[in-house]
This record gives sequence, structure tokens and C-alpha cells, in this order.
Amino acid sequence: MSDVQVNISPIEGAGADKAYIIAISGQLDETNVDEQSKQIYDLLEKEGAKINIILDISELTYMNSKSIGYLTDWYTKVNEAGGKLVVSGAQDSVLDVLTVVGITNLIQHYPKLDEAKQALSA
Amino acid sequence: MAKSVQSTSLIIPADTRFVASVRVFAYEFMKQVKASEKDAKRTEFIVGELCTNAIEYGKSVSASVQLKLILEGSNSMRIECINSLEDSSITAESIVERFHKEVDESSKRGRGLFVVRQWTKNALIEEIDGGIKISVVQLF
Repeated sequence: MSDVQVNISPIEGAGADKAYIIAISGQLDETNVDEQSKQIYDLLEKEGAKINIILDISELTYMNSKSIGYLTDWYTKVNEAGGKLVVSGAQDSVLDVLTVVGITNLIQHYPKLDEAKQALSA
Repeated sequence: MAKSVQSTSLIIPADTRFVASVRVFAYEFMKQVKASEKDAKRTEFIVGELCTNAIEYGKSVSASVQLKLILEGSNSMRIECINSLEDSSITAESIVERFHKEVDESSKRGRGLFVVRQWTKNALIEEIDGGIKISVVQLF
């Protein structure tokens, strides 16, 4: 199984809306993405999906197509509930994949985490 | 890498646990033939998706997947992925259909072969003895 870590932490002082940083590091592929995504679905269920999320993937070195499918689903759920989901810090190779499938037209990507935080608080 | 080494071939069990090592191998192979980091990472993704799809299509636990990387000239890599499809109803025709399908943005699946199609050319999908072969060419 490929190594991957998912850390979910609340963003302090994010205002009235609940906000979280979900930091994913390592490699997301067929061997782990189903299991790891459960944590994120649990968060969406607990918070009713009306939350703001920064997906910090600055330490993510590989993302397969199935992972991109999950990302799209998380975005759709959060967006439909009135929240926001943005992506931060994608490495060049991951951004290359996200771009070719058109995800960067759907989900805002910020190179730096601070930029993503500012965007959510705006 | 010695100039005479133009191709490599790997056979792995049809088990997704083995795909990570194969795609990393493909990445390293591309770096050895002087591909850029961007192109090598694209190869890693292409190989990962082709192998994962081959495993998904092969229903038998005893099936295997063969990967071939063939350097054609100085900037062209042929990537072949062959699976053995014991007791599977999957046909080359159905994979051709998936290969050329546009991405459904609302769907969680179906992006892997789409990316392969965007980053390669001369795709050939055919039934061979005991399996299906997907062959694509990546320029770098």
C-alpha cells in the first residue's frame, strides 16, 4: 500500500463558518484512496457539508484518476451545501493532471496556503 | 543507461498493490532516457492508469499484467500494457469506447483513460491471445 497521510485541522478565527485545512501528503492511489477518503466524508457528514475547506496538497506527490474523482465529489457536496472548497500548493506534476482533466476550471487552486486562507475569508 | 538498452518489460500479478512500484520504475526509466521531469511524471501517471485499468478489467485473481516500455528514437516512448482476462466479458471494443469517452464532470470515474488519450498518440487497443493489449506512444 502506498504511503499517504491525511490530517484534518480546524482553521482558527475563520469567522462564522466552520473551516478546515485537510492536508494530504504522500501518494494517493488505488491502494489507499477509498480508505483515506472516508475521513473526509465523515467530516462532511458531521458538519453537514456547509463548511469551508482548504485541501492542502503541497506534500502530495502522486494522485491517480480515482483520487481526482473523489476530489470532484467533495467539491460538489461542499458547493451544493453553500460552502467553499479550494485547493492549495499542488506540485507541478499533480497540477499538470488536475489541469488536463479540467479540475482547475472547476476548483480554485492557490499556490500558497496563505492565499487560500485569504480567499476563504473574503 | 547504456545506449543499447532500448526497451524493458515487466510482468506483475493483477493486484493493485504492485502498481506503485511499476509506475515509479517507469518514471525512473524515462529519467534515464533524458526525459524531462514533467514528461517522466506523465509517464508515471499513464503507466499507473493503464496498469490499474488492466487489473480492473481482468477478473481472475491468477491474471497478470505485462508492461513494456519501448524507446522509439530519441524522444518517443511506446507504452504497452497487456493483461490476461480469464473469464472476463470485457472486450477491446468496450475499452476503445472508454478510451474515447469524454469526461463526465459529475462522475467519480472515467478520467484515467481520458488523460492517457490527452498525453499520448497512436493508441492501439486490440484483443490478443488470452488478453487485451493497449499500446500508446508518448512523445517527450
